Amino acid sequence: MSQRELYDRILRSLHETTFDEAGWPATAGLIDAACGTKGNALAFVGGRARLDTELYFIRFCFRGQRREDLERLYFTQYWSRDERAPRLRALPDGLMVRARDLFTEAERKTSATYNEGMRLSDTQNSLNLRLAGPDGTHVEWVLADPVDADGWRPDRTRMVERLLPHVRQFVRVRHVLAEAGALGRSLAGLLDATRAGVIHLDRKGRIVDANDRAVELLRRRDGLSDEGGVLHAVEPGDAAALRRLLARALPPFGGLPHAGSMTVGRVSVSPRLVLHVNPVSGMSPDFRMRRVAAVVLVVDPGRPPRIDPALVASALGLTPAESTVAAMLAAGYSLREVAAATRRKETTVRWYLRRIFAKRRVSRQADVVRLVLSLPDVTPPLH
Amino acid sequence: MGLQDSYDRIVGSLHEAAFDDARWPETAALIDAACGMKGNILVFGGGPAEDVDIYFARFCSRGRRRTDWEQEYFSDYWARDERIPRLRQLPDGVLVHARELYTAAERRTSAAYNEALRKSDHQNSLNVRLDGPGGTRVVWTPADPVDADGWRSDRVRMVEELLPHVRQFVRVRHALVEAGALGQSLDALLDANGAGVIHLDRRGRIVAANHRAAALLRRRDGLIDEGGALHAVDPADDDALQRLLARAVPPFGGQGYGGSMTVGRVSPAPRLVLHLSPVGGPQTDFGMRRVPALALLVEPGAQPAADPGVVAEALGLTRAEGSVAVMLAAGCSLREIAAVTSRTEGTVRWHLKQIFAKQQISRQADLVRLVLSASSSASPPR
Repeated sequence: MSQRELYDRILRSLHETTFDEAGWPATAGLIDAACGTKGNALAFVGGRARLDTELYFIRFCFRGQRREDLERLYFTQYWSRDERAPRLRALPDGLMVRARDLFTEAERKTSATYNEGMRLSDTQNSLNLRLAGPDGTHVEWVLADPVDADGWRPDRTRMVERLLPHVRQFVRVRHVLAEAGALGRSLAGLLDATRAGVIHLDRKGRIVDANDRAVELLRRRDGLSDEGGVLHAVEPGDAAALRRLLARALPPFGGLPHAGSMTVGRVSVSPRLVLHVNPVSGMSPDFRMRRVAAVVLVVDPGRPPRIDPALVASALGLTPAESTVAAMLAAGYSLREVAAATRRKETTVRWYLRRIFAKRRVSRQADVVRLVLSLPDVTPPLH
Repeated sequence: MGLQDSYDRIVGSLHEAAFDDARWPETAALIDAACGMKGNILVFGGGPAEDVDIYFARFCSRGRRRTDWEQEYFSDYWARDERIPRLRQLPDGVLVHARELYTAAERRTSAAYNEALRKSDHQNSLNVRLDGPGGTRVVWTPADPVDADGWRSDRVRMVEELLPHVRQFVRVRHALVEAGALGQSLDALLDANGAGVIHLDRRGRIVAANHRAAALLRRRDGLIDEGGALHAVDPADDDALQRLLARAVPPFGGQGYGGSMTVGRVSPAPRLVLHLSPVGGPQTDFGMRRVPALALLVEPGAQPAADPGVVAEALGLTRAEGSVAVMLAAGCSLREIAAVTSRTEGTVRWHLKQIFAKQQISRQADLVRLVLSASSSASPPR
């Protein structure tokens, strides 16, 4: 294959890997073949001084395989005492330097990194370079020893040079996408704590994702259902209204999306479900979302909420006995029912309630319910 | 400037434009200059022929974005442009002259060809379709050549060289915008639900906070922003908070762990509930640079007021009953409700009885529970 064809193939592979990092070892293998090197090590690093260094992404790849053993070995045994590291960090952007030139003559005789770590990973004759990234980050890239006695021929270094901007862009984009995706997942997790069912819809109103609460609701088909992947209301009148609401949130090209709410009747006698449709729109309104175009929140007002008495006790400053009473009231029990369930006299339960009133400076059961139900559904406090 | 230099400059510019949409016209102008054309149009779409979706469109001419042309084309010509179904059928990456996408008869009669394409300097344009992910496609049309030389082979070759980079620009730009927009929307939904959200960096510094969290920090009633770092006012709580932060964002990366705690207030209000959630985890082994942890803040009893209309609809109540229910849930007594709504206490009590009957409940506490769940996820204000 000509260098030109190799270059095009590497670019295609890098472009795909940008959306799926599992493709990196194969891409690295193509790069190794085109540059005549035994492997390469790529790191995305932040922080200016060594003590401040943060590693965001590390890939040591040899012959198309990721070598996590070498990554671990280097970062546990050598990285903190690698004499080359501060010099590599000070290199001008994109300048290729031989590994041996990053050690002094004395260090080349004594350095554990140079003599053990780099020998083991075939990088004593490597090319080392730094690529500047955003906000003080940088990409460090080490191309391992050449595969043959020809060494670093000019055509090989030329190929490395041509690939630099693309490798830098791959790392930047991949990292931002991974971060944004992880942030979205975590925010979705927090939304879970608000006790709502959450459904993600695509442009066509198809269900892309749903949290456990929403899946359970859809599965019971008691008001809302999943009809061949599309969100559907069981009652015909509601179904038409839901279609209108979704059409407003997911307008055709050129239209402005609108949020909206509605309620949906149940098959059972439970109260109607409350539904809020929120279009997803970003910083630039003329970019339209393809994957998740709307987030739907579904609340079942009739469903007793899950309440953790330990969180109630901690947040409201109550004893375990008081918080049990408060949590049960919020779950819909009467004082008599609380007494029966906790095997206490009703007067005792009433006494706990008065203590709660005094501590929280309120005077009605409704106030206690309001306080308890405003707590998020999160794991119990650590104490 | 040599061909290689032009190519390198364009690719560099495309790489930057992927992170900042505002730079596309400038990039487009570089491409126009290198390929000797008057402008170019870039469209990203998907869906089957009968149900096409456009995600992104950029008409650029001489280094400027022409939103006027975009609007005019999509509202007046797009639906009847004879070229479109043929363009959609083209093999990936094949350049075709615009005139070849119309029949001889259409070239005489087509409004799109004779009006829109003439106006936007596209009658002699090149048209190419590029495969995108998940059945999507990028359509790119380099506009008419700048001079009588027309589509010289060196110009066409440069266009061809740039195709993979233009495709990648669209894919990356769109993926970045989508990922960011989803996060923003979820943030706003949490805000609307009365939940404060703080984005924290590796040192526990505050990167961003939604409205509710920012308001809480400003009040310094329990949690504070100390020179950018999140702290609790109470020293014992602060120790616990810093331990929780260290667990969520371990130094030098590694798996973070979430956890919750409550934080004492200066005022007699209930303690704040704080939940820390590490970002990332098993789905990715990319270390998070910007926001490795999120803090969820909830102020017990300080939920946003429910919308009486939504509550009334959800619970099958009249508007007046809905208002009574919402005010009760917000902590007002019957007497206070009567005063606020200029009704007698007897009337308010009668509304309440109606609500109880309709919902088959017998206590105010039950009503509060129903109202709070019915209104717990009001849409964010727009």
